[in-house]
Amino acid sequence: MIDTRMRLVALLALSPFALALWHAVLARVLRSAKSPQAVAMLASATGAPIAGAPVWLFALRHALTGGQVFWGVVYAALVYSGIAYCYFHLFNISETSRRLRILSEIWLKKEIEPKQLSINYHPEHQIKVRLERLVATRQLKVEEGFYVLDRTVLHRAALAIAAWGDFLRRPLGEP
Amino acid sequence: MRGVVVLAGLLLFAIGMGLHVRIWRKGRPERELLSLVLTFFAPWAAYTFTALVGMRLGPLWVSDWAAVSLLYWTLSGAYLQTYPVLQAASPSLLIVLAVGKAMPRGLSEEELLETLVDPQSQMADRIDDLLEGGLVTQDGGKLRLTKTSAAFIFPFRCLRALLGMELGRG
Repeated sequence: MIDTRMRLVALLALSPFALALWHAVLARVLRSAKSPQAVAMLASATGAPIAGAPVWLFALRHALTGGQVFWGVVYAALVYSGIAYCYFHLFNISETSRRLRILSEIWLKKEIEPKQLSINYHPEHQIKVRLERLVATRQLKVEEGFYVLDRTVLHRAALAIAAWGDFLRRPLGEP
Repeated sequence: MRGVVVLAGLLLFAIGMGLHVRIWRKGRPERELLSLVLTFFAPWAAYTFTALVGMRLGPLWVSDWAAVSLLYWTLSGAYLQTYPVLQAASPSLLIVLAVGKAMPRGLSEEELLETLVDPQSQMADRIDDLLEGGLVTQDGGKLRLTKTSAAFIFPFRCLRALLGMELGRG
């Protein structure tokens, strides 16, 4: 007989697969969405009750005391948040990584000459693609021909990352 | 779930972070990412070793160990995935930082391109990186994947196929 803690751990360890399946459903339903990252974020957020339902039914509901339920919920929330964050990052890498794009193209064609790669690696194009993404996810907006901050989530995250880098004596972007 | 298990996972993560901060502030290691992974592996390995040697093995202990380990590695994994942003300077972060600095007026596209585009950064550099890193071989002018890179991209290909999506735009 598996104890409730082991069931909780096992169900949470399986939650990335549930999250990926839920994301697959949402990606098909919201195929016309401008930002694939926004769909991935939506899947991570709305996937919590989907991952949480079996956790409650097969583990937490069988806890013996209110304290065990409380700590079980705290534990599940922490672990799921970490897993959802890691999942979003993996998806984002699959969407934005230039090296991964090159490797995937080589895999598709088995062998390829560098000039046959379809990725447009012109540095200006790379910045323009990112500007489009930032506008689509409403981190930036265009006002009278100037890009300005819209939602400040990414800007705050960028400031926090830069400050953390300074604290570690590892400035942002230094090779 | 007992509170002590949650607190043990958080404490272990705090130890990993403390170790990381101490080492990095003293002097950043040369092989940064490998050192970072080893820095976070060390407290978990010590915890696992101590638990194996110091405690009796039983179903209750195994579930505690698994619960602490899962919490520790999800938190550490989240940090390990974020850290490379510091090294690689994600263009998106650089863009929002540049725009934030120029608020309330903001920046025009031309100004952003002037600030952020590195004219030296070319496709050939990325391919050279892949060749130097042993992820790609070049034979008769044609690029081929190595076994390592084929294994590396496999989970990403599976994910894109599951999601019904083409290759990312890079």
